[in-house]
Amino acid sequence: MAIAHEDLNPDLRRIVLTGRLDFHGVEEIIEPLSTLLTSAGPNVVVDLTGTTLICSMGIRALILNAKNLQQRGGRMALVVDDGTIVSTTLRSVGIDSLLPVFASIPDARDALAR
Amino acid sequence: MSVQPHSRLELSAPHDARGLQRASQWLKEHGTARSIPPDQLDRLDLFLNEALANVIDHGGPAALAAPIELQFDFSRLSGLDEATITLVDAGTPFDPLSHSPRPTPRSLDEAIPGGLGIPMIRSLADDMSYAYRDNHNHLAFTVRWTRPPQTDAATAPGVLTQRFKRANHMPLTDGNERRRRGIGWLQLFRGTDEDAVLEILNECDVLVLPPGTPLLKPGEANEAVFVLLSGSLAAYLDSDLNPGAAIPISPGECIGEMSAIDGKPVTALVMATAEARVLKVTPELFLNRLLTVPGVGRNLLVALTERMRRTNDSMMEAQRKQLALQHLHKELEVARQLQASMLPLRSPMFPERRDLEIAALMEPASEVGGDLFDAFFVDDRHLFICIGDVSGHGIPAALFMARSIGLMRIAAMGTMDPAEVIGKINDQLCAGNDTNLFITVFCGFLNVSTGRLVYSNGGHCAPILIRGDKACSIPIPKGTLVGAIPGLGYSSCEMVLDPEDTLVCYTDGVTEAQPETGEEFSEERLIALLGRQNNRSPDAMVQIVRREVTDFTGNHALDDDYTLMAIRRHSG
Repeated sequence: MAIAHEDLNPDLRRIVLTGRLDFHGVEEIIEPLSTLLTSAGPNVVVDLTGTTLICSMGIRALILNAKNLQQRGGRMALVVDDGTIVSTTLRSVGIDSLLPVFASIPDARDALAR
Repeated sequence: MSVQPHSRLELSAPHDARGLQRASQWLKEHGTARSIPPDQLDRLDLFLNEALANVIDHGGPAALAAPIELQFDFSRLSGLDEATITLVDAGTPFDPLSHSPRPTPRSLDEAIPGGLGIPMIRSLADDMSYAYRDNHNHLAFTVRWTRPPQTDAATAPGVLTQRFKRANHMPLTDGNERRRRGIGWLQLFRGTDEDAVLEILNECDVLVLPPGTPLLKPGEANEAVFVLLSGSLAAYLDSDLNPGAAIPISPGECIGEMSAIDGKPVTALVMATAEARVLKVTPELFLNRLLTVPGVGRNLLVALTERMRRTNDSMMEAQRKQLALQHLHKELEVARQLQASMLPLRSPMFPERRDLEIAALMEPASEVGGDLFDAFFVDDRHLFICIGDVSGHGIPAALFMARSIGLMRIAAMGTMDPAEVIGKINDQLCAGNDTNLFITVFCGFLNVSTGRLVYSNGGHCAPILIRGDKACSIPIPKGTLVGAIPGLGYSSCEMVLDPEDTLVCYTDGVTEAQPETGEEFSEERLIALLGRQNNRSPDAMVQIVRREVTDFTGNHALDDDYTLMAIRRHSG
């Protein structure tokens, strides 16, 4: 599991999660993810297009961090490739009713800028 | 290996993060061998992860007393394939199919993180079943899919095959002129006689591959040479399909020329990452016609040389990463020494005392570990002892361990109630803990004058009491692992440690140590071994157990951190 980031503009950070976000993967990224979110501001787009699997703990970590971000006045959006197991998994737990989900970074960036 | 119409594989999975990884690897290896499509394997893998983690977290002590048994059934029916993973565990009876999921929250404010695993796997299954029999949960998860007919890339579903036409397949140049490029932009045909080459290409097919369609698969025979005309392909050298490991192939590049030349099977998976138009040159056209066109042979050598140079660059990059890794190892060695300095690793621990003898040994599975132990006097008569095991391994577990031991020492100085110590560190570790790490803890206060030991437990395995030639686990109070759920209460028990009694505390790295194949060392084996060691000093005892475990596993590297602490009371 790999985690990387880039600041798309002063208000928006892109965090890229690549690989298997299984229970082991969650252990690997949980601390750096939290650190990257704490220092981001105020909005974050989590890019899951390189994520090959996501488990419930991974989704829990995203929701927890999104709530923390929201408490600090920020917003989180997800970018997911349609038709993948990650997209199917996220939809199966109704994450799209909690967080905006987009098919591309520009779409997410435009939505968060509004 | 031929796949039977119905086949079953079985695996005993240890209940820790490494067991999860091993089970996933086992599924992937055997699923791929049975040609289970990747998307179906993903669903099975997700179920395996969720269900195993559920047993580990919520199955209770009974679940942790024995490995979780996995069955992987594969059936090939008429036109339909079916795969089922069944988990058999001895944990608390729990039927996830009768579990009512929480209503879906309408907003992030309403969302309560957690409880997502069950609805997730239920929605991903084509069929699920649950039964409780022979004191075991049997949870089965089934996926089904229609078997595609055996095809090569040219006839794979969604692939269009067209006859090459220059007008259709040569890309336009950019800019206002909108002229078609000459044939020379293709690496293989640079500087060659365009008419001669086009005459041959007019006999070739062009494959139009939708994204995600494989062109070449590892292990397959290939005789054709392919040239990417437009779109994009990527080569994957392992089966992970990790985008970071993909080698991109750009329009104009050749593919498959190495297997076409030496006749050996394809070594990489080559797949379309966007819609790709690929020229397919048959072996006959390639060897007998194209290679006779002046310049094509030279271009082929240039292409192979460039590929070799790229491989060299990759090797240089790998070497650079290796050096960085060596540097990281040096830093980890410093971290290991720092961590060791947090623990009382001297032996014997209290040489000045005649009424007490303590020895301990800790070996991390990696450079740094998540196990901890401690023993110190809170006053002249009362000794605080503790042992703990952080979930996971490596640096995150080591950092969590460092935090835990610090909090434990502070808590033990403020009370003589071990239940209060665990309750306090549970709340402190839960506060701001988004790491999903937790710790199991056993701790107690021993009055060295009277032998009274008051102790409490948070999800840790029961220590073993050795009295005479008898050894047995002591009864421990029920207590949830620490750092996961805030506000929990813990209870305590007490016992008397008679003179010459020995109490052995350990982490599950001792009892779950196992050889490459075979069963774990087990609590029963540890109890039987300790029952024969009462005439030995605590120090000799921990050394003998370590040696026995090493012999048992055949020097197999530790899968988990290993800690053992033996406490013997003397009459003074």
